[in-house]
Amino acid sequence: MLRVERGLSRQQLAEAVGVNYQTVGYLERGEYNPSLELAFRLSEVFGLPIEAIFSRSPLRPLSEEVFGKKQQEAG
Amino acid sequence: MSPVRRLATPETAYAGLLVLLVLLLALPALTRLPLLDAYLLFVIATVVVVRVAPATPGVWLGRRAARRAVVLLLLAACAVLMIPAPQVLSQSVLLVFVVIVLANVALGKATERVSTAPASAVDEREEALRNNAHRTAYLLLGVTVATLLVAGTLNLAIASWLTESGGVFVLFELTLFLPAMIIAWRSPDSIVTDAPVRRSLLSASAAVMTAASLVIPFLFTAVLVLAPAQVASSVKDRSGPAGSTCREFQATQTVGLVVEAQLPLHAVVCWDGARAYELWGLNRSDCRLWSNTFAIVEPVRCSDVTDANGTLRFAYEVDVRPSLLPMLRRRIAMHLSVSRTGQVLQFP
Repeated sequence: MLRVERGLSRQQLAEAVGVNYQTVGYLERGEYNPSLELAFRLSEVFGLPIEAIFSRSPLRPLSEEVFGKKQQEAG
Repeated sequence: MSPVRRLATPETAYAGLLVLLVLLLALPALTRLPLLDAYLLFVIATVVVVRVAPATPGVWLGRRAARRAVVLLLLAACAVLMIPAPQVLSQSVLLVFVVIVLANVALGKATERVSTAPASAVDEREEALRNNAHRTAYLLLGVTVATLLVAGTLNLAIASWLTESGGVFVLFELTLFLPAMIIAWRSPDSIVTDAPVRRSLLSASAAVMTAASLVIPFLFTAVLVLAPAQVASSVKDRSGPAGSTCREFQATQTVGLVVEAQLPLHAVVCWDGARAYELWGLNRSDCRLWSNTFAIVEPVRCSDVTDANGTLRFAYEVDVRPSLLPMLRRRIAMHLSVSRTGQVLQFP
């Protein structure tokens, strides 16, 4: 999970983007779809484009993504 | 966004209005039952203390099942209030109100008081949740009021039913708390915080302690109803009319602790071989010498007879009911029977 990989607690991320920590939890569980405004704020906190944080299909863990790229480069 | 919302919300307004209404309703009985009102004030004080504590749902109230149970409890209490006041219900109405107030507090905690928080205290998810809940509540209340209006047009008795039962209270409760009920019902299981929550240990402890202490009167009520009666008695020789032998009988039966009632018996009985008779005591007025604290005492029987054998039989029985749960009762009897020869047949 991106937040965990960045060493952030839900509370810290919630304070960074100005929402309740419950909302962060619901976002992570896929039980809430953020507004574009909140998506942009999360994008700024993580320093990543929105499409790297949200997807309509389940995202692969970052470690798998990196490992896959390395394997492609090696291959 | 802070999850702690310490705002004046419907819980306090509701509790305050309840105090006012119950005080007004209880004014004639205030001199007899002031402690019940004191207990209600204590309930309100507890609500205030609990409200000062952080409004996070916690592990238990964070579960959807627990939140739904609170909603069902509230609806059940409202349903009880809707019953056109039979005697027992009207006596227990205070308990129903206490349940409603405590459930309202639990509901506020379970939903983090989202339904009444100002825009500055909610994030976009909570705002959407609140708007949706208010919209649903608005529709439900609109349909309810419209139904009542139509029913009132068809049958005027509905107006008296609303005032005779707790219908107005229920409408008031729903108007204030239906959005919170809807939020509590719809929201999924809460997320447990992964960061240390900054709690005021003092206020949280005070909240737990005062909330727990609300149970104490009910424990004393249970003691009144269930614990065996304590009896203290004594018999002394007394001088009497010539040709008679007399004894002074003194006894006290006590039931309960703090919530308690005491039945005294104090008389001098004499006998002369032909009959037993009272020198003093054992009158009608002696059947009304009980004392009571947080309890209601109702005389059931008071009799003083000397039978054909010359045996004096004095008996009085009372029903004792705890003021807090007056639907419960226990019967206490005090008997004194002395034969014409001075044999004590019955005495506590």
